[in-house]
Amino acid sequence: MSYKKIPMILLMCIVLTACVSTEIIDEVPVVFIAGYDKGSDDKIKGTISLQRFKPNQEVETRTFQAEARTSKGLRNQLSGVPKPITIGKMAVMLFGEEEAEHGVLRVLDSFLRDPASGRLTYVGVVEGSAGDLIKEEDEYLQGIGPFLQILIRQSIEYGNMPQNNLHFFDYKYYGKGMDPYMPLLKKNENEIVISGLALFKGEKMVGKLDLEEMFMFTLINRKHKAGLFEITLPDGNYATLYKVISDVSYKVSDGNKTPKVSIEVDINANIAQYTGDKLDKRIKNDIVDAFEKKIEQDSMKLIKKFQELQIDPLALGDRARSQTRKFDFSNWENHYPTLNISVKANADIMESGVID
Amino acid sequence: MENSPRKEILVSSFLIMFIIHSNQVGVGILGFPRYINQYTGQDGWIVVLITGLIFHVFVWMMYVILGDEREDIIDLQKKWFGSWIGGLLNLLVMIYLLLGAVVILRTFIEVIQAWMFPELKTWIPVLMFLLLTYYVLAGGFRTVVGVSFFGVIFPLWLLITAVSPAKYASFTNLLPVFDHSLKDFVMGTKQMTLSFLGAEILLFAYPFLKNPKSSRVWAHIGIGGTTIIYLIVMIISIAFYSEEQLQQTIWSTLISWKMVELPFVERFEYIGITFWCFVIFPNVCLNIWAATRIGKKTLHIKQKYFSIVLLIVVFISCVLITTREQVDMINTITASIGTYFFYIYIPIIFLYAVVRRRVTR
Repeated sequence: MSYKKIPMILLMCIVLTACVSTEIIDEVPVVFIAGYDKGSDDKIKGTISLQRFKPNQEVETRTFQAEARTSKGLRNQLSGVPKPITIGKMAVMLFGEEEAEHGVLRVLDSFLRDPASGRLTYVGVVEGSAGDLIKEEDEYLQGIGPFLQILIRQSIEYGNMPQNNLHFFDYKYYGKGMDPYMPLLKKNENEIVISGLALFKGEKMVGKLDLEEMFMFTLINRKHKAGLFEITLPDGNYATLYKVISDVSYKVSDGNKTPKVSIEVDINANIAQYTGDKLDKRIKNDIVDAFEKKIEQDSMKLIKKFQELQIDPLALGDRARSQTRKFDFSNWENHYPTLNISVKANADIMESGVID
Repeated sequence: MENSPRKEILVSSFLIMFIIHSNQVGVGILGFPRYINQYTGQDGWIVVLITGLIFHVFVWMMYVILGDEREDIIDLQKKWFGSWIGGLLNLLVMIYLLLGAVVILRTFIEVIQAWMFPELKTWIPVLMFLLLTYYVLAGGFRTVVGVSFFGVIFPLWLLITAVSPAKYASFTNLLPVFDHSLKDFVMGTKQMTLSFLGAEILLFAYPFLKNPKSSRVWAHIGIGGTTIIYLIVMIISIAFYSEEQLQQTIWSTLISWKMVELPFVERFEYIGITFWCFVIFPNVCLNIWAATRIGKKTLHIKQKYFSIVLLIVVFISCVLITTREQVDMINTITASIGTYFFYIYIPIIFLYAVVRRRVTR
């Protein structure tokens, strides 16, 4: 038996070597972040930041820029970059505002098509130019790609940003009765900040939310543990809430004729700060009332805004589909701008710190 | 029967569970939800259950067909229909088995080429697989069963990875339940049948079991295992993708592996696809093994030599298929042949067996 194996093993040795070209990590450039702007003549202007791992454990980062019709076509244009470019570790993809308004799918298509790319990549829109933001990479020790990845991830986990990444964009782009969104970034004097949420209709950006609107959106979108929120009390004092945990339920009635949506938000929050003297039960009730009223008013305003833009980032259509038999999407879309929607908030204060 | 296998080469009855299960699960699981859900949408998981139940009925039928004696389908067809018609039927079954081996091997290699090594020539992995297949076939049926046993056990841990896409899933996608017409369910079940094909291996492995009659319950457990795994994949796919997004996705299970985050590897698919070799391999071995049994009993060629002929045939067929469309086409052809085999041929010989046994008694 063992004699039979020997030619087999030898054959394997021959067959298994050099079937495909090798890629050595020290030699291939790894893209961590890419930015896309609208270039001249409707082309895509791509900016990539490369990291090369040097033998002495140093990491070298450089940016390159080129213009082409497709995002894969950019590769040919990036003649100054050592090949092959690997996108497997891509952490963040940014779009300039103009490019986002023009449509992002001409870039994203290549990433959704390519099996080497991930789906946990964050995609975002930059107010202004994405390329300019990436070029400022020198200020960040670990490179701007990993920095932005951590910034967005932490805003989702601890802050007020709803869950998002390339998969969610794809999910909401193709899915019926919902529209995608992306985080919105901005470059201030010398730092990068999250300035809100970019709203999409299909592949085109049509509007934005500021930070406070984004918080409201996150609260009523789905079960979420948000970060800090500051409210103004009727007596002129201020209170800050933290660990705001929301649990929402959407009820859609009469989905196929004249739909009615009622949203119920249950919120548990803790008081982190209060500017007045003593935090007694009455004031706690005031805070609860103010908070509930704020949620109800602001989220109604938010929904009105969505209805005017005829977009559905809250996926109301999909929620209606899941609650209606033989759901009629065209009827829903006709009714959407004038939909009867009500929001009911129900807040509870859990803790108020170690002093009264 | 003079042909019935010697006592030393029999295997324990419970192993039929692994034989059936490993021959059913193949490449289909990497992308089947899309084909079902184009008809049934969020109700796809019900189709999985329906098809599973139907195959329980088929297993019951097959046990009735096989009867009490140590005979496989090859002996029975010869006994019932004479050596000419029976032999012809056997040869047709053999072609179907070979087609099954070609489809599964070629489709898996397409996955490797699409995901891991775009530059890889088809003949290289085919050759590697088939050399290994010959090695297993040369070891006889017990080795084939051993391979199919490990083909179930080794990749079983991959089920844990379903947790990762589940974290990003919204399970309200499964609602409302039963929102499709009967016709949609029938069409979905027809599509689902391809992924359940492979249970026919029972018709060939039956005489090799130590205690064929008591193996019945294990065969049903094998089908049940397949149903549960498909059910998990289906539910996760429905919840993880939006309906229209799923229709865009060719290999939905593989893409949902992109959600797995591990500190040492960015793309989990590479590990998953590599482990999937353990799933593919028993399929190829079992199909070709069954085909060599037909060669032995109808053409009277020694299995050892006949297997070489068949491996060459499989090799050439795999290399000749080059594009995605051709892979898709041969999948569709095999699916319809398999569907006819199960939904028409098996019930017919089932009735024939019942009537004949009544009459001869």
